[in-house]
Amino acid sequence: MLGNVVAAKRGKTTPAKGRRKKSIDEPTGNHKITDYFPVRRSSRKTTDQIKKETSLATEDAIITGSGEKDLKIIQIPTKGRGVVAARIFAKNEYVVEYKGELIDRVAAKKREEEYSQDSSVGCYMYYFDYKGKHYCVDATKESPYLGRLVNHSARKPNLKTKVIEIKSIPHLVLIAKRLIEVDEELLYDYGDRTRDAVENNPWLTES
Amino acid sequence: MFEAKLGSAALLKKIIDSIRDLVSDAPFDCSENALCLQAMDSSHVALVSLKLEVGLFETYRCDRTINLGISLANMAKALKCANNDDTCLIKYDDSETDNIVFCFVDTKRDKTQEVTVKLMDIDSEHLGIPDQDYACVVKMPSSEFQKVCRDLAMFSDSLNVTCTKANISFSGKGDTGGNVINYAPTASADDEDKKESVSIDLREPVNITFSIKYMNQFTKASGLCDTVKLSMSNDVPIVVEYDIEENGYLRFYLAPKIEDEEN
Repeated sequence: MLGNVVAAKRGKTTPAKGRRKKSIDEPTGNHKITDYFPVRRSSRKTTDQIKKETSLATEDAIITGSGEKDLKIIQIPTKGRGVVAARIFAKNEYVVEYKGELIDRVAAKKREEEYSQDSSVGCYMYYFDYKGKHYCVDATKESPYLGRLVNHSARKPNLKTKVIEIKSIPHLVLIAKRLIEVDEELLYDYGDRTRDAVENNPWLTES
Repeated sequence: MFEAKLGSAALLKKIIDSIRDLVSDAPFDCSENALCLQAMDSSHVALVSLKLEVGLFETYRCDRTINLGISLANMAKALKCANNDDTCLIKYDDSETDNIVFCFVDTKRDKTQEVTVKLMDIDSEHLGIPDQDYACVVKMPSSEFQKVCRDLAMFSDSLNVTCTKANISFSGKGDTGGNVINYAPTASADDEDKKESVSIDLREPVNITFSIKYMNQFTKASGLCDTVKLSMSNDVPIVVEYDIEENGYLRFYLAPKIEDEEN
C-alpha cells in the first residue's frame, strides 16, 4: 500500500515521459526472501572475521605450544639435527615459534661473547627489531621446543619469520611461505650476512 | 586444491547465463560432494540455489571446503571463449589464491585454452532453507512455463497462480488488459507423453501472486531441463526448479507479492 502511495506522488512531480526503466531491483510491494528463510551468519565469514580468528588461533598455538606435535626431528648427514613437517601446512599458516629467552641487545652481545669461548655451543641467537626496539631470542639452552632446530636456507626457504605481539611481548614465529608437504624439511633464512658470520659459516649464503 | 572437469562447457555456460542477470557476484562453495552456489538478488526478493554434484563431472577433486567468490559477468566472459563441445576444467590452486582458471580443451583439434578470472571477496549472507512439504507441486514442460510468463508479462506486473485438484490457472491483469491461462492436468501416465504433460500433486488448494519480472528471469534456465517443477504453498516463497542431468539442480526461490487490499 505504502509503495503505491509513493509511486503516485512520484508520478505527479515528474511528468510521466515514456516508459519507466525496467529494473529488476524494484522490490516495492514484494516480500523479501529473508522474511521466510533465516540468515545463517555463522556459516560464512567475512575476511576480517577469518583474519581475526586465525590470529587468535595462532596466539593460542604460540601460548600453548600445541603446534610442536606437528613437527619431527630428523638427523641429516651434513647438517646434524633438522626439523621436518609431520603434516601439511598451508601457505601463511603458523608453523612454530622460535622459542627461547627474550633479551635486549646489550645482554645478547654479552652472552654471545661468553658462548664464543666454548666451541661446543652452537649459535642460537636470533636478533630482530620490533616497534623500533632491538630484541634477541636466545635459544642456546637445550629445550624441547623445535623452533631452535630449524635449519637455514638462503636459496630455498619454505618458512619466513614474523613477529607476533601477545600481551605486549613480541614472539618470533615461523610462518609457512608456501604449501609444505609432509616430511619436507623446514627451512628459513637466518638473515645473517655479516662478513664474519659468512666467513665462519659459508652455508649461510650457499645453502 | 580444487579441480573439476565438465564434459562440455555448454552446460556451465547455460547455467551462468541464466542467473547472471539476477545475481552479479556469487560465492561458489566447493566441497567433497558438490559444487554449490547460493545467492540472493540485490533486492533480496529472490534466491538462487545451484547444486552440481560430483556425478556431473568427469573428474572431481576437492581437498578441503573452499568458497570462491566470482563475478558472474567475468565468468560468463571466460565461458564465452569456449566452444560448446569443449571440455571445461575448473582449477583453483591454494598457492595461487587470487585466481580461478578455466581450461577449455577441444579434443578434436588438440587445442587448449586457459582463461584466468580474478576472485573477489564476497560478504554474502547464507540463508537456511527449511525442508518443506509444499501444498502443491506442479510439473510442466519448461518451454510451456516460459511462454506462460512471457504472455502474462504483456499486460501485467504480476502472476497469480491458482491451483486446485482439477485445474491450474495462471493469470495476470494490468491497466490495459489481462490474460488467463488454464491447464487441466493430463492424466496420461505414458512415459512418452510425460514430457509434454502438466501434472499436479495437490494437498491443499493454493492461491498466490508473484512478480512476473523475476519469473521471466528464472525461465531463462528453461534450456537446462525439459521439465520445470513449481512447488508452492500459500504465503511462502515458490520454488522454481530445473533438474540438471539428474545430478544436480538449479532452484529459484521467489517471495510472494504483498497483496493489495482492494483486490
